[in-house]
Order: sequence, then structure tokens, then C-alpha cells
Amino acid sequence: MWRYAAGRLLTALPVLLIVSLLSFGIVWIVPGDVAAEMAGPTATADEVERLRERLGLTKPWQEQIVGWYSALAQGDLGESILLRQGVGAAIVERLPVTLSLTFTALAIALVIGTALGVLAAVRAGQAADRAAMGTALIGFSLPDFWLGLVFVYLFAVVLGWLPTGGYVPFTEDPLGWAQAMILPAGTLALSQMGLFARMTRASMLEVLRQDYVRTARAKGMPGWIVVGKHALRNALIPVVTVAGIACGVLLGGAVVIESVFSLPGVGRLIVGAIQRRDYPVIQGGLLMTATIFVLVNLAVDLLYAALDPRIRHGRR
Amino acid sequence: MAGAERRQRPPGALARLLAHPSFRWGLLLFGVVALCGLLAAWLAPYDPLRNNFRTRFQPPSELFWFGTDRFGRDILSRTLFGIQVSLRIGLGVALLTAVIGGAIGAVAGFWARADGPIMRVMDALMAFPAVLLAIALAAALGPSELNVIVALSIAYVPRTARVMRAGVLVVREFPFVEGARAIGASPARVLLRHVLPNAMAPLVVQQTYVFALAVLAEAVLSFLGVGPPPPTPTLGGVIADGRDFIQEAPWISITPGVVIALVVLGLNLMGDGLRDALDPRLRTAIR
Amino acid sequence: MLTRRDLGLAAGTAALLPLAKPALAQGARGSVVMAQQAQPPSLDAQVTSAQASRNINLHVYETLFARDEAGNPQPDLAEGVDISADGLTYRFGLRDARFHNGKRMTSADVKASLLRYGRVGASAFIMQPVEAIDTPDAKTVVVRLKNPSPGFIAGISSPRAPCAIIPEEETGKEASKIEVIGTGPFRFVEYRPDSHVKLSRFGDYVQNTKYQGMDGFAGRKVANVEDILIRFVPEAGARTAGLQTGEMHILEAIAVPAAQRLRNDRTLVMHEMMPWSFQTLMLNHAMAPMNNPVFRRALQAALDLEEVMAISTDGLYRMLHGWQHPGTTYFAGDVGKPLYNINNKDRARALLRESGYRNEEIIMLGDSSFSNHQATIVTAAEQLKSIGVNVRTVITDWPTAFSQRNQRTGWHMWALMLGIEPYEGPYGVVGFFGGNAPVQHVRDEVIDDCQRRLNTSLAEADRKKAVSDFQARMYDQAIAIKCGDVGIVQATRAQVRDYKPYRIPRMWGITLS
Repeated sequence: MWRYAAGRLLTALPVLLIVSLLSFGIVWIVPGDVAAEMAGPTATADEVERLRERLGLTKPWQEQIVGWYSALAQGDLGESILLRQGVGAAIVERLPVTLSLTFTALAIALVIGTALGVLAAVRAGQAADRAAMGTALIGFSLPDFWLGLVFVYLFAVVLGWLPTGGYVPFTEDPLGWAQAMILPAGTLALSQMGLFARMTRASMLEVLRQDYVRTARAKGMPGWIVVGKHALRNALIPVVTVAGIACGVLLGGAVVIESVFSLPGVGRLIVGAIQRRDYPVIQGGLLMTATIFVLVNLAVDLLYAALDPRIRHGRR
Repeated sequence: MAGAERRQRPPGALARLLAHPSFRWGLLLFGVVALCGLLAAWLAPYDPLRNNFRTRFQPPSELFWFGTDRFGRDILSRTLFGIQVSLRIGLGVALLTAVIGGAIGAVAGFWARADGPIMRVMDALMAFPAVLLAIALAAALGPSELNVIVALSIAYVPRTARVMRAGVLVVREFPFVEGARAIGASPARVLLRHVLPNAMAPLVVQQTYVFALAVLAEAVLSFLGVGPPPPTPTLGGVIADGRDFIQEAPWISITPGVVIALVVLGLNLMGDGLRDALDPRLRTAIR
Repeated sequence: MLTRRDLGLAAGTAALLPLAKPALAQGARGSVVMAQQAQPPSLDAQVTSAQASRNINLHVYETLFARDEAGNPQPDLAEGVDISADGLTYRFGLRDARFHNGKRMTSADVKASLLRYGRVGASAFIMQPVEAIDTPDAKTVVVRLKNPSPGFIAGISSPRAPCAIIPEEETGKEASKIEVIGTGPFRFVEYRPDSHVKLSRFGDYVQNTKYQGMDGFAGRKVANVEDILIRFVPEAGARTAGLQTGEMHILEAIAVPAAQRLRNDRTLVMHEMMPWSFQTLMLNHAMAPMNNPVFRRALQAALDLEEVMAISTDGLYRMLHGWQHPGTTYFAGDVGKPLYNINNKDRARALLRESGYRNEEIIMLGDSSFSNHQATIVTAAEQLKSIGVNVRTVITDWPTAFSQRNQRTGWHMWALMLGIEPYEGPYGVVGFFGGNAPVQHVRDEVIDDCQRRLNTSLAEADRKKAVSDFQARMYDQAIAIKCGDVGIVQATRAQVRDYKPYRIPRMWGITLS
């Protein structure tokens, strides 16, 4: 197990190095710079050129890449040009929002998705199966940001049940946090919910065919105990492994959902930085999200290996 | 020898495909919407670019079945032409990633020495959320339909490469591949003639889903202002046109959103059918 | 000649009033929530001309002079100014003021702030005529100019990129790197990017006792609310919804269709402002065929500006040719009017033929960050297409569009809304088209001459003539195209009392019931 873990960790290192290079490089192909944003829409060419010099945007890239890596080595992601704070601090400040959103969505997707999947598997071939799978399919066919717009209109404006957007920290007001999260997380959960439902159904069907399940049934054990106790536990293993990938997908989806619901998360931070050319934030933000993704998948792989010894041997 | 293994594939794959209910429904759904898009020039009641300030924000009526936008343009006409653009982008991304990702994946899967470095780069690309990567690339490349295709292709190439690599890894262990090697066929020939044709099925299935993902992603990019440039009618662009008026003129955003959902639903259904028909083992492996 | 009287000043400058006790805003209470689309690119008032920053900064910082309700300069941190007969020496007396860090404002702070503005200020050119700044005592600042510069007070009183007075200790810092410390009625508390800025009432604020009430950005500023939360909400629909549900009290701007829908809602008040800004189409004279005035005139003749305005403003517009707002000092009457909104396709086609246009591609540049810019370009492009111009619309995000239009190549036409500049008066507007780097990329000697006369003539009549000549030239040569005047609707909940709409939503003077 340790050898597997070490090997897996070793492959993650070059990935992180490439990630850091890509993060640094991407801003060099984006036209325009932050001076245009800072000076304001009606600034003249003169005004902006002066500001560019003052902001140090005229330094050559060699100088900047050395600065980037030497700062990185000290765990420093640099300073945002527009936000009055360090990039690291900006990301740390927003992580709770994005993680709240992502993990709430993940939880919703897992719970409802597996429930739909189990229902479909147990009633395989029947109307309930088709209804559950149809729901799952529609779930990941809808454009989520569009659904978000419709939900805001419906639940916040027409019905007045929930706020239109914004974030309330859990530590300040758990109820407010839940109210603020339910629409965005629910919207975001839809696509992954469908995925989990399908995964659960498929692996559940496989498990239900296994001998030990049939034996348990033959012994006269009630159906829900067979399903709940024996089948589901085994069927969930592959589902858990995709949770890592789902995490990445959700982080990506959070980007646009955060805009629709005015949530100050990491996704909106990076999109805003791209739109306004706040280079240090683009670079640091991309690096951080990619690193989180790599680490989550590393953790999931190790967890999976621990659960299923076959994985440790042989090629992935 | 290639012939021998080809016979392994059950005959009448197409017939089996058409018999598959998911595929049939998917094809029907996708086909109807795609046909509407293809025939947009004949079906659309108005020029999708024609502004008319006297008909701004018209609700659905006999004249404008799905209403008009802030420019007084007909939503139905814009949606129909938008289907064309979305399908071009989806198809473009599906083909481009198939070629590039397929090649990368095949090389990585076939030559063990190339595997490590190639897949580390793919892992690195995949570590960025695809949408975020596409937004950055689209902003960098500038707004055009082609650049959207390129940006999305770069974002989705790792998925395709992974699927292809997995397929090649399996197929290269098959007896007939060993056989071809034994009689001295060159590696390139073995890869192209024997391995690839048999590793294609998962790719075809995957690309159906990539098509669907690209249609959704175009909408996101247009929504964030980095899609094909206005006034090009795109489904995402029409949603974006209506975003500021969702209470006053909900018809602007609703119609294209529903159409996107139909296209994507159709593609996903087709993908499911393809998956079952081409390779039942894939049932849980992808998507 | 510009004298004190011209500026509407009454009091002498040297009088040192005892530090006025802050007239306690009795029962200041409540927290008001304002929503705006964009975030401030900087909280350093001097460096940015962005509206998103202005909305916040003008509550925190103050300037020597500030614009009143009608847009004219009035003393704010200054008691007044004495201008020498030759127009070269400006003697400012300073009123009592206290910075948010507790320090009293002195002439040293003012001098250092003005000098910093000359280095980092967005409109640093207003400091160009300054030769030296002296501080004979703690309450007096004397500015000596190299040459007469009648626009000097207009410049330092402008809210565009305010020449804010900050503590001397901060003035050595680079653009955007200062602590947010001003003398305004509200002090800065926190900035949470993508979420909000929080300001709180400054308990030790020294009110300007010269005035009875609020007057533009000058006047007596009384803070009756304890906190201000300025929230950044990117979706217009979400802002409107927030106002309706009561999560937000004030919207900097509400979409016009939403304003029309909510007009009769008793819990809300819509405040329409007309004119708010100009919609313009800038032309790049460095790119053929735009270098040919005949071709430019063809475009001028072709455009149906009413359609452009109706679409880009969602119906809240006024068709007006002037490059200054009517009713202001420099409004040039009917000059150029016959060439405004001609909307004559036949004449346009004839001019197009005369210009020798050979179907060259015309690149029309817009940005997706400002929806009115995009709508203007898209609408104008369709119109030009219909007379046979080969147009290509390029819509990018703001920084790309901006860097593009600063190049001499790669674009022909660019949509820009000018809001604060025409409000400021003629200097900024004329400055756009004159000087070393005019927006059209090719200097026009007539406009340069108008700018020189405007900037240096001591007699108002001469300056007015200069602006009138400028406007004539703009139309005659089709230097750029003014589409019309744009209005805006600010929205408040009914519980916000005594709200007076202005260029930014002002939080002083209002109360929450």
C-alpha cells in the first residue's frame, strides 16, 4: 500500500509542475492588461500608458517567471493588482464559499442520485426505472446556469422563499447559510445527480446478480435489508471513486453558478480576474484549483486502493 | 487476421442500434432539432440579424411565436439559426478532439515509453476545470466560432485521450495483435490496422457525450461573453441577451434554453444507445 | 477673468473657524444596502475614473472644490479661493477637516496630495500647468501656475478621477497601494472582493457649515445612516429582484424595462435622470478608408441614430446633437445640428460612391462588458451593412477592446459612452479629440486649436467660442458620431427618505424609515 501511495504521489509531482507552467503561461497569450480596467472606461491612451508603467506591467516575461517561481517556492502566490489583498489570502477567503457550494452540491447529488439509482435497479425494467433514469438524464441535459436564472426568478422573486443570491457564512448564521446555498447547490447538483444515479443503477444491477445477494434472498431475508445492507454497500464503491472526478466537474460548474447567484467564490474570483486581467490572481487561482483537483483525486485513488486491494497491483 | 477479428463484431450493429429505444428516441429528438437548424434559412420567419426598434421586447404573439429581444429581433428565427451554430461547434469539437485526443491516446497506450510524459500533460490539462480553461483560452484567442471550437477542444482533449488510451491498452493485449507482431508487422501498421479499429467503439461513444458537453459549454462561454461574437445568433448568446430581462421578457432566455436541453438530451440518449450497442462492457466505464 | 465671484464664493479665505463640533446626526441608525454591477478597480480615488470606484470613493474622500447640483465647482475642503488678476496664483484657504485616522487636515496634506495627483492621478494633466505649491501656513495653500489655466478649478473639482485629499503619509505610496483614509462623512471599513464594500459613518466628520444642505458633491453632508453596504451583484435581474425583496435599498442603475414594470410599485421609487451620458461612435482616422472625410460623411448620413439610441438605451434616450449638455455654460446651440441624425440612405450611398469606397472591410469594435456599447455597435453595423458597407463586428471583453482601440490599426469604429466627461464640462470632451493622442489617432489642427483656446483663454466668451468651433468641426469633418443622450434610472425602496438622485447615489442626507 505504501509503495502504491508513494508511486502515485510521484506521478502527481510532474503534473503539478506542468500545471504551474500552464498557469503562468496562459496570461501571456491574453491580449490587453489590467491598466485598462483600473483606469476606467473613458480613460485616454496616455492615462493608461502612464498607469501601466506605474504598475510594473512593462517588465519582460523572463523577469516575471523567475519572480513567480521564487515566490512560489516560498509559498507566496503574489499580490492582486485590483483586490487590495494577496492572491493566497483572496483564495483562502473564498474557498469556504466554493467548498460549501461544491460539497453541498455533491451531497445532494450523492443522496438523490443513489436513491434514484437504487430505485431504478430494484425496479429494473419497470415504469419506476424508466422514470428515475429519465429524471437523471434530463438532469444532466439542462444548462445549469440557465436553470439558475429561472430558479432565481421562480423561488426568489415569484414565490419569495429564498434570497436572490449572496453568501452567508455558516459560522455566522447556519440557517441563512442553508437558505443561501439551497438554490445554487441544487442547481449545480443536477448534472452530477444524474451521473450518480446511472452509476448506482449499473453497479447495483451487477451486485444484485452476485451469489451472496441471491443467497441472502433465498434465505428469506426481506428485500430492503438485502438491498440496503449487502448490495448497496458494494455497489457504492465505484460511485465513490467518481466522486473525485465529480468534484472537479462541480468546481468547474461552480464558476458560472457563482456568477448567477452572486456568490463570492473562487470560480468568480478567477473569471473576474480573467475578464479584468488581474494576472497574479489568474495565475494563482488556476494553480490552486488545479492543485486541489490533483490532490482530491490522489486522495480518492488512495482511498480506492485501500478499499479494493486489486487496484494496487497492475496498471491503471 | 484483421478480417478474422472483424467478424467478431456481431453483424448488423446498425440494426441493433436502431432497435435500441434510447438511441431511437435520441435520434428522433436530435434529428428533429438538427433538421430545424439545417432548414433555418427556410423555416425562420425573419432575418435573425434584422433590428427593429418598433418591435422591441414583444411577448410571444401570432407575429412572433416566441417573442422578440431588445433589438426587436425574432427569437424563433435567432434560435433556429442558433441551432446551426451550436451544432457546428459541437460537431467541430467532437471531431477535433477525436482526431487529436485519439492520436494522443493511441500513442500513449501503444508505446509504454511515451505513456508517462503524455499522460502527465493530459492530467495537468484535466486538472483545470474544463469551463475555466475554455474561458481563459477563449479570452486569449479572441471571439470567433473557430476559436470557441479550438478552446473547447483543448479543454476536452484529455478526456478523449484517456478513453482512447484505455481502449488501446485493452486491445493491444488481444491475441490477434500479438499475432500481427509475431509475423513482423511494423508497430505503426499494427497500431493503425489492428489496434485502432478495435479501440474505436469507446471513442465513438465518448465523442457523442463530448458533442453534448460542447453544446452546453458554448452556452456558458456565450453567457460569459467569450462565445462567438454578437450579433451571431447562438443558443447561449440568445440566453445571454435575455439575462438582464428575465422578469420582464422571460421568453428571450427560456426558448433557447429549452432547445439546448433538447439537443443535449437527444445526444445523451444516442450516446447511451451507442454504448449499449457497440460495447456493452462500457456500461459503467465512461461518462 | 475668473474671480472668486464667478465661483459663487462669498466668504474670505483666511478666517480660521474653530473646529466645528460635528453636528450630531441625531439618531443616526440603520444600515443601507446599495447594489451595483461592477467592483471598484481601485479604492485609491486619484487613479481611477471608473464609476464603480466613484460610487464608493466619493463617500470616503473629499476634494478642495467639488461640483454642485448643477455641475459647477464649489468649495468643499477649501474655504474658497482667491485668484490673482493674471490668473497665475490661486490662494486656497482650508476649512477644518479631520481624516479618518483622527489627524487634522493641514496644508501639508493638501500639497502632498496635489503633487501625488500629478504623478499617479488618472487626469494628471490638470496638474501640468502647476509650477509650484506653497504652504505659508497650516490653513493656506498657494498654487502658482506657469500659464493661465481657466480649467484648473474645473479639473481639481471633477469627480471623474477625484483629486482627493489624503494624509501626507500616504502620498508617497504607489497607485492603489494607499490606506483608504479620507475626510468624508463615511469611513472605509472593509472590502470583500466579489461581495461588498462596507463603510461606516465617521463620527468625527467635520461638516461644512457654510452650507445649509447637500449640494452635488459639495454642500453639507450629514450622515444619518450608521453603515453602508455596497454590494457587487453582476446579474441585473438579481439586482432588481434584490430590490423587490428588500434585500437591497438602492440600485445605482436599474434596467429600463424593469423600471417601467415597477413604476407603479408603491414600495419602490424610480428616479430618472436625463441626460446621464452621451452615446458616441469613435472613428479611427488612421485606417483607410476612414481617413477620408467623404467616407466618414457617408457613415454620418447613413446612420439611423434614433434606432441606435432606442435599442441601446432600451428606450430611455433623447435625440440631441450637442457635445455639451443643454442648459450648461458651454452648450453651443444649433451648431452642427443639420448634420445630426441625417438618416438618408440615398445621400449616404452617393457619398460612398464619391469617396471611392471599394468594399474594404470595416471593423466595428465593441465590448461585452458594457451592454450599451455592444448594442450600439451591433445596431450601427446592421445599418451600415444595408447601404453596402462591408462590416465586421468584433465584440471582445473590455481590456481586449481597449488595447485594440489604442492601436492605430485593427479597428475602424468603436462605441463609447461618455458620462462623466460631458458632465464635467468641455475640457474632457474636447480633450478626447485633441492633443498628442486623440481617440481618432490622427490629430486635427482645428480641434487642437480649439483645445488650446479653451484651456488658456481667460474670457469665458472666447472659451465658449472655442467649444462652439469644436462642435462645428466635429460635424463638418465627421470626426466622430454622437448618437444621442442616454438616461439612467436609479431605484430606491420607499423607506429610503430624502434621496436625491445624482451622478452617484449619495448616502449622506438620506434616512431609513
